[in-house]
Amino acid sequence: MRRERIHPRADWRERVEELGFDFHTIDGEAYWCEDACYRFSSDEVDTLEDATAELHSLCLEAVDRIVRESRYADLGLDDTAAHLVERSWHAHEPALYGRMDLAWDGNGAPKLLEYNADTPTALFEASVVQWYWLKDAYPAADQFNSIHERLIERWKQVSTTEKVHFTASYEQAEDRATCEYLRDTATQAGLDTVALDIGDVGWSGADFIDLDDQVIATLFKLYPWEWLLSEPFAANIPKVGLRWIEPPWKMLLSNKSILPLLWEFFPDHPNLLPASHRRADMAGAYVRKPRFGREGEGVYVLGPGICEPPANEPQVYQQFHELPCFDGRYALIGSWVIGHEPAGIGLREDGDRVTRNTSCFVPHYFEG
Amino acid sequence: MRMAFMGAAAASVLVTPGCGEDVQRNRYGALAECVADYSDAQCRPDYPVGGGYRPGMSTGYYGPWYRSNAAARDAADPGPGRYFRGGGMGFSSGSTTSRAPSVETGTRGGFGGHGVSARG
Repeated sequence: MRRERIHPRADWRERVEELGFDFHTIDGEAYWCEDACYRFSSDEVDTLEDATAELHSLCLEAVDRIVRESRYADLGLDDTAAHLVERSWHAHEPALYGRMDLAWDGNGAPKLLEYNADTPTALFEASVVQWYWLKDAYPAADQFNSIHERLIERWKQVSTTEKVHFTASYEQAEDRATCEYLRDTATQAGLDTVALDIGDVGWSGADFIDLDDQVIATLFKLYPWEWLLSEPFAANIPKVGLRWIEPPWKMLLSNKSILPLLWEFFPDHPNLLPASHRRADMAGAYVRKPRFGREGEGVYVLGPGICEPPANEPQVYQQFHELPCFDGRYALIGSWVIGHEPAGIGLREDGDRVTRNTSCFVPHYFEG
Repeated sequence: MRMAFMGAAAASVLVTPGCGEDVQRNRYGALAECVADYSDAQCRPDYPVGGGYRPGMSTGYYGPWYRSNAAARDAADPGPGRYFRGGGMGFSSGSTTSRAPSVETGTRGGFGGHGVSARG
């Protein structure tokens, strides 16, 4: 694994915008960065693929154990959430996708930092934008990326209805792009799709309904479960047989409190880092994350002698594992799972040790 | 914020306090009654939720949704229609009947309150 400084395509802006990628620059700062790329060997790609498969397998085992042992309090979930989780898990409701954030420098075992299992984003850039970059910049090389093809195949398995509704906060550019991209893959899978702003989801008294009064039977929501369950329509969720994508059981994995449970269930696993709900369990440097934090928000690197900032929500402590630093840039690997299979990676980098929503997306390639 | 249209065939739609913004719409026995209150484009037949509409299938017509709270209505809100605006004294144009429309209520906006990106 190495970082290479390269010349961006002269017309990169036009090239990515042709694909519909309209948030390549966020608040005046470049988000899509192709003045560098990451190069992997095929063996390194195999290592990432194996680690992702292994970690996803551990996660499924953890979900099953949490349900069997009713460990919902460890995740801060109430009875309503627990009921939804159990109902969806016992019904084997299928998952569509997820993204694991891994720390790895090409040596040793990749370490799981967290699993964005409910509303992962940075999908379109990983699946489509970097693929077209590869075709322009390194046409003879390969890329760990079968995300698009796997999504289309997965849609054929996850939807039990011909029509699937898609909802997100459509005024948010990244959310809109992610949701519309996924809708496109569903359309390519032969499904009839309807887009709907999350605020336009209606309640008829018996069903969730769309703007045309149609009952929503299958709903892809780019809207976190913890938000859905804290909003006025939450009381209606258990009343309907609606098929949710992602299913409710995914809220166990997107919750940062899964990290201490994974460490408890699989202690010393080479792909896991020690994690706990108690700071006292941490030795040396550690990272503190809020249970429902998003994109680095509220994440602190702490250690002995460093004063811990106050927090008003439950926190998770995880042993600090330095991200690899190349040319002063810390790199994080986002490893995609489509269905239950590893499907590709996307890299984010930042001058800071914590990856945030503004951290650059940098493309990659590999040669056999 | 866009106006949501909900529950075409929900004969008895209940409003749960606190579950989004309360809205309501008028139900008419005939298209002419609805058109007398609104415009043709704002009236739609009552057809079964989840099924397609076939001519002659309708058992009534709905006007558009409008906010229950009159003070909250903006320019985009279609309002309660001419019948109720006239104090329930009959249609102001077109129709030969003055039968009062029934009113059904629903909710919208029960999700989406966080208003920030779900990026994760």
